[in-house]
Amino acid sequence: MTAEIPQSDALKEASEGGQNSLAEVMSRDPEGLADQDIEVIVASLRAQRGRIAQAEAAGVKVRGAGTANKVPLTTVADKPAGELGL
Amino acid sequence: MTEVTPINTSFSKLLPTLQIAVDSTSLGAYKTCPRYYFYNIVQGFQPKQESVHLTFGLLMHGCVERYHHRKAAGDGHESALHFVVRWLLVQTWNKDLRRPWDSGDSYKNRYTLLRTVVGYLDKYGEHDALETVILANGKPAVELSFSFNSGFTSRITGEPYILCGHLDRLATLNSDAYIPDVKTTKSELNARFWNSHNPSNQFGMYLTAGQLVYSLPVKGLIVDGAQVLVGDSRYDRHLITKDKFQLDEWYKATGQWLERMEASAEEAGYALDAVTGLTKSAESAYPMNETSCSKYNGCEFQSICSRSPTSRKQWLEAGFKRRVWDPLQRRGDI
Repeated sequence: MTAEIPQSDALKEASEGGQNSLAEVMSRDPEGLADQDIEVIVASLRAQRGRIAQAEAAGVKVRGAGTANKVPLTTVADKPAGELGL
Repeated sequence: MTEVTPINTSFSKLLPTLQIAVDSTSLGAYKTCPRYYFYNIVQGFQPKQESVHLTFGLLMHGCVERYHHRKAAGDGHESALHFVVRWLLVQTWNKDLRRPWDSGDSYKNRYTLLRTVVGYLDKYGEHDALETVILANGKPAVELSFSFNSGFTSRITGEPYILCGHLDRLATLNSDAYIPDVKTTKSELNARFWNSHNPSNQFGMYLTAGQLVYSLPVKGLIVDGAQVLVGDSRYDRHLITKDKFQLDEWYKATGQWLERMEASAEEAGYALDAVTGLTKSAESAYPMNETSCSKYNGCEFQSICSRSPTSRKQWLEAGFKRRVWDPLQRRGDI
């Protein structure tokens, strides 16, 4: 379950490489997303990419290290989101 | 011969088992295994359960296509990218269940798709040296449908064979024309990956078409590989060219393959039932190529071919759904 994060905080958090805002925005019905929500997604993905590039430049092997797993993907099939408390 | 109106316009009205408009998917299916071609293209069977790889690839192509449309319409990189991200979020949202698409795959899912698309367009979108061709009608040459007379003719019906398909995009680089294409994979983008696309049935067709569909003959294919990992996406670009002799070789071989497809269609045609359509005996006109059963991720019809011919029809009807694979249906209508 993800809690709603104020937009101004969300963009800051995403730009710094955090994934809470990204997960929260992605869990919402996209029809209702504002332009700033899209910015949060793009900023978060870019920040993650930058972090991996920095780590690799420092000699740390991160390829395939499960950063994607930190994003709560839906795991229970065939139930409406409401029943799952999302 | 009596004319009949087939559901699939790529098949002959004179011999309904004969495909006269052939795309790289159909040709590749027959080359892989004639029986696979019969089930998948002639009869139109496909698994009821979606293929994650197919869905992922189609959505990736859909994003790239829309991005180039927006850019050609005057959008900047950020604006076009945001449009694509929003489109992708909507496409991967299950309205009925009010929840995101669940691929069940740790590599290819909604999150890794978004990440791969944003990373790809950031790398190759904004400062790409490739410039999308603008067609005479003012539209960008994206998802470009093509069809041309192959020069080969059916010996049974006398109809010309049409070669057809859809190019992702037509672009220029330093005044030369190229066909860009995108491939997503879990595999490393190494020599083995690139070698698997050269020679290629699909790219042979594209490069042959590329000599005819534009005022400038294309110089080659520029293939962008996108490797999708659990935690990151990687990209690489590769040029594939063919000289005149290689294209001639592909063209001659295509004529030979069309002859084989016609021989199968002719034999299957004798097994046609006027009331019920194809009978089970028609499948014997399309021999199995057992050496293909386990290639790639394994053939989707392996569970059918492993059963007795007496029960295959029932298993197909129970486990698969039908669709019409008609390569003459045009795209590029965004």
